[in-house]
Amino acid sequence: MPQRSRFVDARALGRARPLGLTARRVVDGYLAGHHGSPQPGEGVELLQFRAYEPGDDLRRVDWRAYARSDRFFVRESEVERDIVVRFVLDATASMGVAEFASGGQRGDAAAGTKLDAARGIVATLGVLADRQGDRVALHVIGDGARGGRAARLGGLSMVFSQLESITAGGRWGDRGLARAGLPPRRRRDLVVVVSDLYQEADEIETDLGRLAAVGHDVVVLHLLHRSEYEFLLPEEGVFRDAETGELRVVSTSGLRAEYLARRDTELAAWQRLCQRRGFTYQRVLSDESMVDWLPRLLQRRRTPSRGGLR
Amino acid sequence: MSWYWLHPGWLVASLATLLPILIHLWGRGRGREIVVASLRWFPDGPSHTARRWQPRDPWLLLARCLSLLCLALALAGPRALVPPRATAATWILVEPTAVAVPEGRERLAELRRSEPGAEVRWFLPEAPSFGAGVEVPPAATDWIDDQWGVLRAIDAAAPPGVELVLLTSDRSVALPGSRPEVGRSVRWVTVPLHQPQEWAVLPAQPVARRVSTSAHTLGISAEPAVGRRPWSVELVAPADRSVGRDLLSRAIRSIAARGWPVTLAAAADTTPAPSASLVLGADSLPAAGVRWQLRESDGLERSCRGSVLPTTLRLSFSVTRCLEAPAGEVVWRAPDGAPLLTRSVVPPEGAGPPRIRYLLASRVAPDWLQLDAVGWADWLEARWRLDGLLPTEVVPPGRDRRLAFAGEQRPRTTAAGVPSTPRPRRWPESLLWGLTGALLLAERILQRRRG
Repeated sequence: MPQRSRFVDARALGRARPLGLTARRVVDGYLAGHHGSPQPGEGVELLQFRAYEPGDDLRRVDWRAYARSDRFFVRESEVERDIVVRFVLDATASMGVAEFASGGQRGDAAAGTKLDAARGIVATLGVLADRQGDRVALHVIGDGARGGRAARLGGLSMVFSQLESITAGGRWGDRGLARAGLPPRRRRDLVVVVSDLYQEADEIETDLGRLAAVGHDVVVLHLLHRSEYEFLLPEEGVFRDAETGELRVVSTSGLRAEYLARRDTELAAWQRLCQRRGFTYQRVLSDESMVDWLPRLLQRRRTPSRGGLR
Repeated sequence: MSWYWLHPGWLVASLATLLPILIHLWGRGRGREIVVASLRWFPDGPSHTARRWQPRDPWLLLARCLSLLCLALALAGPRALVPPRATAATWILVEPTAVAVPEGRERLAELRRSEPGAEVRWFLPEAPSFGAGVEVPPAATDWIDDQWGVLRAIDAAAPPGVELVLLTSDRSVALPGSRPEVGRSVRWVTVPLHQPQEWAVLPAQPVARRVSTSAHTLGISAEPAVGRRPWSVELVAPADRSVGRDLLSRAIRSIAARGWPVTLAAAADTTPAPSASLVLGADSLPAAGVRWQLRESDGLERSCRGSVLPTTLRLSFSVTRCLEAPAGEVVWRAPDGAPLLTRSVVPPEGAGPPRIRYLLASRVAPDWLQLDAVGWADWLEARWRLDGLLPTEVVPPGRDRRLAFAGEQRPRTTAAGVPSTPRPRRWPESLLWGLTGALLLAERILQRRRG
């Protein structure tokens, strides 16, 4: 299995590493790691002093305090635990569409797909989590997840291997997260959703609601092509929906305003949804360097405000 | 105003109008397909199928279709048949011999009733006025030597806009020769002086004997036994009266020497026909037996039989090229039932293909005919045979299936009561050519704007 991945953005990783990938909510962990645990125990950072009670470990008695006050105090510190960073990678057909070159010309495969950009995001954030002692898991949504979609914990190399073999195809569908092997209510994790959030009805919205119900700390990375975001498309053509196959002949001239209005409406709706559920929402363009947005995202997550709009 | 097409085969080319439409649909159907992640933000547009049938550049497509249609129609040669215009004034010209018979006087009375304001004049030099009743023609006007010259003179003297109605006997209109070009329309009303003759088409047989002189050829050809006409005598003579008479005398003597029961004599030289100088006397012709054919320098054979003046003028010519012709005889008839064009198959002379003989007859004038065609094939074949012979205006077989041959000056009324013939006009074709040019220019402009 590969120990390194060609998808990792080393420059972005270097800028993001000092900030770290932190969970903004209380999550569950078992092993020593970067994140704090809700249960006090042995650790480095002092949590509190309390009166000694029979049965307490004598090694935790603060003898200096006893010398000063002639009373027994037990020193309690926060136990640092690891968390599981679960990446939910949208590998549906819409993620496999290549970017258009500037000027509205049809792009080729070399222009890169949203899935390629998503691979880079997952790989970089995976390395970041791994280096800070967290375990990672990858959950792929779509028909192109080879070797099964069930994630295995702790294996960054496994994640890299999965990223190499993923192809775009299929749709999100109902209970897409469950089919991708995301454990429903076992524990609270940090879940990073990388998707273009293209849903036929409200299946993605429903799945995100389930994540919120469990109590996961969710980061939503809304990935879009620049041509898709800024309406850089040919003047006229037969446009085919990658997932539904619907054909529509549209003359794009004169329709830019309406297109952008619809785009803004939907993006604002996603932002409001994430803000309401306490998610972190980040819009990412596929040709955008991670250096431009990843440090800001991590910095924003370190601040007390919740959610956040770009 | 009715229409007909000079080259109706080109109407098939109007199907080319579909070409731009098909090309347009082909182009629309194979438009560039662009895969996008989703159509969620795309404004609602027509479906692919509906869009395909929606023209992209409707004006350009229309210009292309119309230009092709106009081109096809112009190549088909549309003609408009314009009925004769009613003129402000009418001169009824009465040829003296026409009113010598009761039927002519009745026809004149009808003309006076139908043309209330018409001015009646004699068809004589200087067109003297005609009285209220039927008057005696001016002295020494028994017969006009040069009727066409009189017509030209009256045409020049008549005021502009005056329509000429010529009441004349059928022998006048039967005169051979080119009609004069006059500056106005002349309506012909003929009075038959003699009953129309029965005539038959007799295919020629190989010449049994040919007598040659230094300049002329007298041939005697045997005919098959058709009715009571076992023989025909073919006389080839130039358009010279004296030589013709001499040759005719030789022919008569030659025939008489063979003991055939015929007596023929040259008639008095009373007809000022410039090219056909032989006139057979009616009294000297047998009721049945011999048919004379005078072959003139123009290659047409004209025969007359049984009357002093030919009320039936027969033009016959042979076509040496042979097509697959149906056996038997095909006859095109005039609206009154009289046969006008006859096609027959002539047996070959020895080894060789059979010949097709066409006999073209007109009781009115040699330069105008109106024929009935029995079908498209016959119409096309007759058209092909006769096109180089006479100036033609062809009406394709439609409801009446007429085949009209127009001369320079043609009468619009025949003695048999054939209705007046409208004049064909070329302006529809000219208009279509102009429209084609304008549409092509518009197409280029629209194409350039489209870039």
